[in-house]
Amino acid sequence: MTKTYENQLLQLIGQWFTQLSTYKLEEARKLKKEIDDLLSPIHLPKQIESYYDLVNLKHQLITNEITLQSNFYRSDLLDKDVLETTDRTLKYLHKFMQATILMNNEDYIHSIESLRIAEKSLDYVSRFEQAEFYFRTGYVYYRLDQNITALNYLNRSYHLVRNSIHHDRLKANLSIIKAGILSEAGYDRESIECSEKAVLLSTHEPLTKSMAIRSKANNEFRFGRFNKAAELYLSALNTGNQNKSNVGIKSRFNLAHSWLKMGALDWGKEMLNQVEGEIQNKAQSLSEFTARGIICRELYLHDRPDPIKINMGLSILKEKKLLYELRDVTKELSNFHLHNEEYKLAYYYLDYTNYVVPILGGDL
Amino acid sequence: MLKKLATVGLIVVMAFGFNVALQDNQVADNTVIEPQNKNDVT
Repeated sequence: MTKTYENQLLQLIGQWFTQLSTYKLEEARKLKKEIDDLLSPIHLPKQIESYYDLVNLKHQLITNEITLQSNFYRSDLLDKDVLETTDRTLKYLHKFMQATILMNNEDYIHSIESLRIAEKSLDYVSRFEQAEFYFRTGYVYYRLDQNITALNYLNRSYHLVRNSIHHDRLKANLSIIKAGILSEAGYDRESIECSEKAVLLSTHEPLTKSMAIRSKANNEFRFGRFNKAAELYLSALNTGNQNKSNVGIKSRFNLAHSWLKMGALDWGKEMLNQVEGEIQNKAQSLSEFTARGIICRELYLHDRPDPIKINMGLSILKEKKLLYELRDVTKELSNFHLHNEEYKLAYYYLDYTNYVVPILGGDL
Repeated sequence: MLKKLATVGLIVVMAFGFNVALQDNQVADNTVIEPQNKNDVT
């Protein structure tokens, strides 16, 4: 293998990476094909092989293959000898893609660790790639309920792509997270505006559009407008191919939850049964919903919630350190007991995260 | 007589205060925003 051949390959992979950072998918596909045709099956230098694997992973992320199937890759598969190499771009890509896989598996704490290492090499990649990095980092902080830090990263990302005509999808995603943050802070109207902006920005991206509709549904649910929420969850499920993705399972759970809240118990029960069946087949990244499913069933479909089952659900959330979700379900449990005038239990669940969260090492 | 009036007055004030406090609580309860569901992205 000659140096010229290696250089040509590295140059092409570099161009492929740039096209992906600019969201020019057609060009990226063409380059991938060109590189695949060029690749010799025997003895590629380790650095080129790793570079190819990582950019290919990014390609699959951008073309939604990973979003649709979160268990597509295991993060440890990336732990080849990549770190031995001196290429900073490679170091960045390695850690960033590892973080992306971890966030797809809802392992946000470890994802942050990888992101911190990737951030040290951020000066070696283009500003559009930096925007992608800030967006994903903002997303992880948002999922960990560190909304102020998240907002800071989202703004940095937006600043870098605000004038780009190729980054509508990224801008839509930024708006979706911002809508969530506003909604949680109690800004109902502003959150709706943000979700609507995301819908407009994602006209050509059906899956992103369905996430934007889902964000609007989540806001309706949060403010207790369950009819409207159910309508929007259905609309999200019928947009793009969210129905077939992991997020589709979440939306179906949310739909079941909305119906149960509305008092449509038969519909809710049927949908919950369906969702629980699906979750069992894809357990790894949906443990949050396994837990929520167990608790939801006990609260709405049984005369008396079984404390053993409730604890089972709470244990799953504790094990995965899903503190936001833990706060969420214990608040619901507390409200349930308050409604039944069982004040001792209501207080127990209200106070639950106050002593559990510090033990798990999280911030209140 | 004065003592009686003062007691009745005190009871009225306390009842009024309790009612206001109760109303405040109701308002607070209605405005509580429950966290629920994080958004997803592509």
